[in-house]
Amino acid sequence: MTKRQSETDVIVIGSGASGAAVTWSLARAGFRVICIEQGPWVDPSTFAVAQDDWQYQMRTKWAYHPNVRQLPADYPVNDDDSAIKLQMYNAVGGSTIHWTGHVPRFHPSDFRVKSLDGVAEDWPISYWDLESYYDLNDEMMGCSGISGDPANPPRSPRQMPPLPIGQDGEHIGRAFDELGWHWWPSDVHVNSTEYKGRKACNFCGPLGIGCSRGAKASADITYLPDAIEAGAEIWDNTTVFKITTGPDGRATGVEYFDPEGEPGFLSAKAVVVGCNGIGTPRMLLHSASDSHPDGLANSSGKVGKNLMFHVYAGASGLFENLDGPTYKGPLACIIMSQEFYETDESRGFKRGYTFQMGRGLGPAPTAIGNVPWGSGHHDEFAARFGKNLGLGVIGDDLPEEYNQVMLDTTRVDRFGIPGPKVDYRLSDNSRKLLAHGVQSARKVMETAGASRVVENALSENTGWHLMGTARMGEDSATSVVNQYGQAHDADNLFIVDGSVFVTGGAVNPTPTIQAVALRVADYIAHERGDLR
Amino acid sequence: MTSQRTESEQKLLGAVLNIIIPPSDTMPGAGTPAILAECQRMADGHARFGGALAAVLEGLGDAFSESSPDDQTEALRKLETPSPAQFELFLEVAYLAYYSDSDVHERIGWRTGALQPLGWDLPAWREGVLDTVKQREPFWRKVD
Repeated sequence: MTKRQSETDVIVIGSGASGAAVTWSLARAGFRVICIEQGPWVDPSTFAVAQDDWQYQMRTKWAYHPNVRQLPADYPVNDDDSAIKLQMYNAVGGSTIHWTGHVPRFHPSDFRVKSLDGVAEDWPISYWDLESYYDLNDEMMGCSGISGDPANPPRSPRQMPPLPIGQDGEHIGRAFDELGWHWWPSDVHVNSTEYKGRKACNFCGPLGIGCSRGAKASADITYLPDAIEAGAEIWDNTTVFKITTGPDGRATGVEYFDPEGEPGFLSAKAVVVGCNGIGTPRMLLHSASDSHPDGLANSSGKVGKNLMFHVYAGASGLFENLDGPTYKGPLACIIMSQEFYETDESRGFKRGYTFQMGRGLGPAPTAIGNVPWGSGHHDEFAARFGKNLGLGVIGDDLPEEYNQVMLDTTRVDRFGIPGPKVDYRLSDNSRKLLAHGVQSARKVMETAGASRVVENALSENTGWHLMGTARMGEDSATSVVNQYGQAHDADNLFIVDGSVFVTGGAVNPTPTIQAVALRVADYIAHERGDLR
Repeated sequence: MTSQRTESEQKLLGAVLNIIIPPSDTMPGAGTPAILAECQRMADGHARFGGALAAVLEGLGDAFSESSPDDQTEALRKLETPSPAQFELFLEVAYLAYYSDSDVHERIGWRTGALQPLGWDLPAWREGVLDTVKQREPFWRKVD
């Protein structure tokens, strides 16, 4: 292979939502940036959605859980003691290859939960500090949506009108109207019209198994091409296993395995970590050194602690009288409701949740887990297929110190590096929140005329949103990084993924992750000329 | 278990699949040769499925194929009860194979093949559907 250089200005570890945004921003600002990604570039023509056996691929090599996929870039995870199972993807573009593109923003109150509700901690930044970065991110990724949502602050016009919500989306919207409850078309990073040379969505359905059409934004087709044009390098199939530090505790570079499995070292003036809320604490803990004996940047003992997912539950039902089958259209990214987003003490829990409507999928996903085997199979399948709609509850999952990520020396990756072990259980607040959400979802389903409404008290395979394990704060005794993602213990080490979240809100976190990352990059570009 | 299954193993698997999803007046059973072959391909291509399929076959004797449907159902229930997770994996691959079959697709009204590049049609977005909710005053909590 081509000989690689041995030094640069900035190393970015991870090319997903956050790493790609930082790589782009710093390359444009004139930094020499090398982004190192353990996974490969993925050819869109190989995405499951473009294969005849997509249903099978969805549950094997395109599965959300790395232990199911077991691709070379995947590290094993131990979530045996976690009530929610991990979902992630390792490739150039990271989990944005696999996401559904749903991009609601945090509410202003999400940054002030201690001041407002007496729980968790306030963020050291506000919604308003991020607002311009949310807008910039929408410009880069392309947002379909519409202004005027009464549940959220006014904001800049989206780049494209909303995706069509379909006759089923309109039907559920009318049920919300009947109840007097809020609803709104989902903001999505999926094109409703052609945008920046990428096609409009043609509503094939799953979203989460790659978009061969390029209508769904992912970091590999948005930020990274522009970053490369600005001079950044992407080292794919390259696994960083340690961030090195000097006697003064500052980061000096990274040790890695190249695509042939040969070890290498790259020195840099700064290291930016964007490996997600599981991979980042794994990296930091595995980077312990004489100057960081308990793990890199872990003098507070908070690295790996306060893991947050979002808690998911919901209700689903069958609709006999719609004008068409419910599998036509994006799986999610339809409509959402934030009627119960903010704290109402009378409900018996703090903070709240968002409803997200979901459609059915193809025949196998309809049958698996829903239709019994044996003599009643065909009747039950016929009753369900093309008639199923659901309302998911995505709940604010407040940080708890007992929810954490550690190293697991018993499960190692192909290079012998320990994988992460996750301990996670739901708090009492989360359980009460979900119980309320499920009853409210049932009410919507019944109002919409669903037959056979089924409640789902907790969805287990929903650990997509990985947050809190290297949180930001002003106090170095209780947080890992400051408001600029800069480690309290090493001024040239930055963390930019969901690890830095203080709280998780009740919405998909990716646009907030990207806004935070762009803000960190701006800080480096404007305030840290010494790293150039 | 590999794709080199014996004739009796294939017969056993076919019998099991026809109990899992039996033939009806309008639908084929899952033991149909093409679906049986697809089930084996899928199991051979993914270790978790392969293990689950092997466990089911190993838990049943050759006599299963000659038993009555009621006895076959009972035998499968006895396998399912103590190992629901393993059995669920077997069901997953059986269902995947069945609902990947083009003949089945035709009978249930599903367009066979890849989802792309065709996609689906949806009626255009209509802003008028927001008329009711637009009447609501902003209700997000205003904080600095």
